[in-house]
Amino acid sequence: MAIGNDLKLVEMLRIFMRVSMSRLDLSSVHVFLFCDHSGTPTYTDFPGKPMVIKHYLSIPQKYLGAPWAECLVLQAMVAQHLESKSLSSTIVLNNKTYHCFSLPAHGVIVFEGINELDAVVQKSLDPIFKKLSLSCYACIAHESLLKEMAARHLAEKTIAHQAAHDELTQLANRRKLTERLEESLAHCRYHQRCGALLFIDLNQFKSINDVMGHDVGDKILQEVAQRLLSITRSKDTVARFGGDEFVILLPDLGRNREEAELIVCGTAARIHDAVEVTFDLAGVGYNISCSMGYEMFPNLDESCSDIVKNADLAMYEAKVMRQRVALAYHPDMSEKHNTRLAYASDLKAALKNNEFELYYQPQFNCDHEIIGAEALLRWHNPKYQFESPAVYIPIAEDSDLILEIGDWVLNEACRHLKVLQVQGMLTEFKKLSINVSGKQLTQQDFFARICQALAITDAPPQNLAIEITENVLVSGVNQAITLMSDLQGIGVECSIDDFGTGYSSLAYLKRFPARMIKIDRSFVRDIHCDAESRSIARMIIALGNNLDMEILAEGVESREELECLQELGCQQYQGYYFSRPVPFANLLAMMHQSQVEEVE
Amino acid sequence: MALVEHNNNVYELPPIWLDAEGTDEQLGKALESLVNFGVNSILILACSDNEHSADQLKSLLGACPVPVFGGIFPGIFFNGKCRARGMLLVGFPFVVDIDLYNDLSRANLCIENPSWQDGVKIDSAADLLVFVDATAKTSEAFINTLYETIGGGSHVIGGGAGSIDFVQRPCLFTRAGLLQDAAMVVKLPVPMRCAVDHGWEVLDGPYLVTEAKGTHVKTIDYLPAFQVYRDSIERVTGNQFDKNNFFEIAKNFPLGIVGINEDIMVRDPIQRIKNDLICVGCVPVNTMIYILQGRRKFIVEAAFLAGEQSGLKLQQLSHKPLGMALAFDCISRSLYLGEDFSDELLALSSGVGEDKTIIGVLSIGEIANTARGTINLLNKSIVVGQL
Repeated sequence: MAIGNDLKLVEMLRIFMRVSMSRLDLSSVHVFLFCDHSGTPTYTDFPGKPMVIKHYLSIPQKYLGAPWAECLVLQAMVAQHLESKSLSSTIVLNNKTYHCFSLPAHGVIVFEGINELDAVVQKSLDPIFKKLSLSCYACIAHESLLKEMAARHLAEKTIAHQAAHDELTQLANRRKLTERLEESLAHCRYHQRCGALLFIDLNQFKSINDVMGHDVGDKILQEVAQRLLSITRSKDTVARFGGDEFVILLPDLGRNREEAELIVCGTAARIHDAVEVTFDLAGVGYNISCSMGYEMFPNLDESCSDIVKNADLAMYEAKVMRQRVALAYHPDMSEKHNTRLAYASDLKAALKNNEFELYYQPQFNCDHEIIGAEALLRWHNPKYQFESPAVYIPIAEDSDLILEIGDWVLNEACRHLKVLQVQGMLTEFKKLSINVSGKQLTQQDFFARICQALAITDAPPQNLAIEITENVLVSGVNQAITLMSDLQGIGVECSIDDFGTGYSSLAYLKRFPARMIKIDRSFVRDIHCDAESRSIARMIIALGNNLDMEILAEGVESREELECLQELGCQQYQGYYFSRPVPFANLLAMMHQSQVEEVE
Repeated sequence: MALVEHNNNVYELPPIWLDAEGTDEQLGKALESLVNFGVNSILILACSDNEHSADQLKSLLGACPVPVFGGIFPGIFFNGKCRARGMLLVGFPFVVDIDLYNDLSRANLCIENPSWQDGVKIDSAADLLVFVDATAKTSEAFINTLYETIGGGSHVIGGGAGSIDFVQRPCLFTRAGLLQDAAMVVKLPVPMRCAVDHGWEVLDGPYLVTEAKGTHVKTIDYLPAFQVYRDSIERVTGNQFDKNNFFEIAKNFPLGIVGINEDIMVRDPIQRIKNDLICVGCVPVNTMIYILQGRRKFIVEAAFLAGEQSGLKLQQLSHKPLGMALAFDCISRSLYLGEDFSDELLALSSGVGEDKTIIGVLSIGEIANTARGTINLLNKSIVVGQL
């Protein structure tokens, strides 16, 4: 009686069952095995231990179309045999004979035939079943070992995968990217071919993450990952560099550099299109865009970290310049970056060393009376002298330095406002305005900070105003409206600065609870001889009147401009024609002078 | 070619066409006529000497609007007369389900193979006709797997199709054309009862097959198989083997695997390669075998018994039979009996009942249920199924 030496339990049993059928003239053979809680065949370590027994195998599988595995009569026979605790039992049913034999420690085997097996034959099967039982044990142990090995292999594979992949997006991680970049760089150098590294940063992602929560942010990142994978070649490596930054390695773009660059630009265009498709999450749509930079390689003596750094710089430039196309790295970018870094460091020191000073540009009415002033930041630095804020404010805005500077401006302006109040200057003088950056607007506690500054300095809130540029407003409409409403509640009013240069719609304008619209200087310059500027200014003034907002023109530099604006109906002005920005002490002096003249 | 006239008032026999020429053209005409008759399925039994063309029959069979099944065999017989050329077509009033299994030699003959599970869909114990290419190396494995898949309870008959030269050629009739290296399982919507017998008796033995591979018996009692076989026959019967007369002698002395219930499963040694005996059907290692002999009387009587038993079983059913018997008679019985084969056909007719119509083939291997219910490939046997 061949048992077979297959280590797979089912195959080993099958061989035995088939041989049994042919040697013993059987109609069918059935095996029932003891199983553990998961249904896996096992064995009992001592006789009589209660075990679950389950149908394991039948040859043939069916009788009269019904599976033997579901035959209740057969199951009852097995149960009865187990209860009897005998090594073998025989049942005759429907002209068929069923012999149940115990498989020691493993279960029961049932032979079905048309004739009863001779007692001698039955007895001779004892040692065979013992051997079969041993074989079952070997197979179960082997299969258990195989399972463990498979589980271990899977665990090792998972760990290896995790070591090389980002957990959230399953993209390659930095480590994997670096490996691939090294390989690609070596390959390109050796074979004189080109490759490129494309650095992608998501715009507006941080605000979505902060406002809607990391769950939403994570889903967007996962979706971005999928979109990037779908538009890249299989040999490209798409990696998540961290946060909302992705990197794509295009390893082999041919020998021709120009053609390679065209491929990169094409890829970048597809990436833009893919990222700008609305992300639909639980019925809510989210829109983001991305900034991209890239570096072609190989270049002389350039290492992998250089390539990554340069692509990052190029991306940064694209972000700063709000470029939709991917920018190629240029050495100027490194210089710019270094300059920015130096500036940032100096800005930090400036805060610490009190190198900042608030200057004020007075605002006038048509009677040339000072009705307010706009606070402007000045930096007294021996290195930069009087560097224009247009240079260092954007640098500050790249980091959180702008928040510290903004806080300082707020507190300093409030302090100055208190001085004005104490000196009785706040009669005609309505508002001291400070500029607010987009980053400050996104601060969750910005309103609280303003309240705190007013409280600490005891400055009158009704004389403080904040100016928010049109573009900043539009990029964070809901936040802006909430802030403006809250501020209006405590008496602090808001102005829309640089109006006419942004992308606001008239619908937005209706929603903003602003006191004043400031016409951008670009429309004021030479307004008296520029019909277009006049039309725009006229429109803004009419808008303001209809929306019950005050209008102030910035950048008035000549009498002609002033007269023109007056003709158009604008009655508040600011500009060099009236006064340059002056230190607070000078403003105070000007206001004293103005008061004296009034009295006289 | 002609429609056979039935003078049978007892049964409503299906239309049967008998053709003596066996050409593709005649086959086409026969199919057309039967279809016009309104039949719902057609059994085609043809002779290997007909020289049918698979290419020509592809479109002809494909165009047939009703299921067709059947095979090409070394011979056919009808109502007592055996032919080596010609064909028989039976037009049944019922539709049959046919499952085809192609590429038998390359098939994954495993119970878990989903295509096998899907192929034989039996809700209840349908009775089956099985046709298999006898030259396919895995034909016996197919039959074993068939039983393991569908299980007991069905009544099955069938046979191996092909030519006696054992050259593989297209030999199964289907609507996909004439196929080779394939098997066909036909599910009958009417009950069939069958019986099998062979009439061979033990001459010498037992012997233990100590080395075997499939149909090749290599050693018997640890000695070269042919040597043991030859010595036994020469000793007991006086026949002398030489280089050229193996088949002439061996056809009279098949091997028999005797089961524990003393049923004999015959294995026909058809060839000798060096000291190996090659049989039609597997002889597993460690099997106890006997060398069998035939006595014409008992061989012929087996046909009678098979016919009689199948009829008795059918009588136990309450439905109205078609009055038809389908027989698969091993070609080697015909070769053994020679001119006396007509006696076998007469005995068959007696057993079945002379009021019934007998259609049969000389097959290469037979397929039937054994007494214990398993479906096996048999040799040198006669299998009769009555509808």
